[in-house]
Amino acid sequence: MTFETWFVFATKKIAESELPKLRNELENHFLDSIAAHLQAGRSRVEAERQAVLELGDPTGAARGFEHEYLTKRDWRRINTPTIFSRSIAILFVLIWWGFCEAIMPNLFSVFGDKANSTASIFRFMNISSFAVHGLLLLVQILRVRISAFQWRLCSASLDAILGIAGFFALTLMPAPFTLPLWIPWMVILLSGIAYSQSEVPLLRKLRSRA
Amino acid sequence: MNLKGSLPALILETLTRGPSHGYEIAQTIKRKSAGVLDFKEGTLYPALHALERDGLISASESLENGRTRRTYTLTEKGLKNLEQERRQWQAYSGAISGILGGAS
Repeated sequence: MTFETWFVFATKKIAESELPKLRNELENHFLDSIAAHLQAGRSRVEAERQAVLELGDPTGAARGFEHEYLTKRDWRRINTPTIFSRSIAILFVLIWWGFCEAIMPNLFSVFGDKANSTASIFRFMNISSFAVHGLLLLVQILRVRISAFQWRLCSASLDAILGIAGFFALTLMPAPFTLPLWIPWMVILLSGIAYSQSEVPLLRKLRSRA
Repeated sequence: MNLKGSLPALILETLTRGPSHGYEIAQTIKRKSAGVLDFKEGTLYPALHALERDGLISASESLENGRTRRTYTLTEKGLKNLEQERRQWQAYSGAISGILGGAS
């Protein structure tokens, strides 16, 4: 194995943008290693062979690199309008929720005081998340310049908070009567929690590039 | 024993002797541990870059024999972090020695 084949194998999942810095460091390390072996009296061929061996297992190196640097998958994720489509989906659900509330105005008043207070929580959540997701959508449409890190941190935090708050609010609501509201909310909130969790490794990598 | 977990502290300790580059850091750790700790590139450089990202070390680039070299320097924040790591390690190793040392 040569340095080149080792490098290609160890960085095959790493994004192109990360490669120059990584190549520079590893190449310098490799050349330093060869120089040290030559100084120790080894032949050029033997020095190069030893230096390649000292690079270690490329599979293990690849795991270390994938943990720290942006991968090709991360890069695709950053450059696809995931958040955009999430904002639209959430806005549709919120519109549906508002529609249900409008055509069933008595839905929240038939359960007594508890239902009324629950309805207030829901109404507050609905209006606030509608406003925030509307704002997020507007920011994307207007292409306001903020870094990918700030952008994703804002969206992931919002989804996590809404998800947790929504989950507790839903447990207060009598489910059989509110199924048309309950199911889409539950889906969107739980997917929000899952989405924000999946963003954590990417946010950690983007932090240094913010 | 999680050797990878101790690598950041070992890097910081190595850099207390002055600025250094990746190969030199790896060799110093290997030499001082009598060959027991031999971190490969796949572990060393992600750890170096994570320390740089966290502001515990800083990097500067210079041209040396036609090659661009990155030299790492310990920052004030890194020094404070190292002192904390040292205290934790001394407490931990003291506790383990207290148990294992008396086992014989």
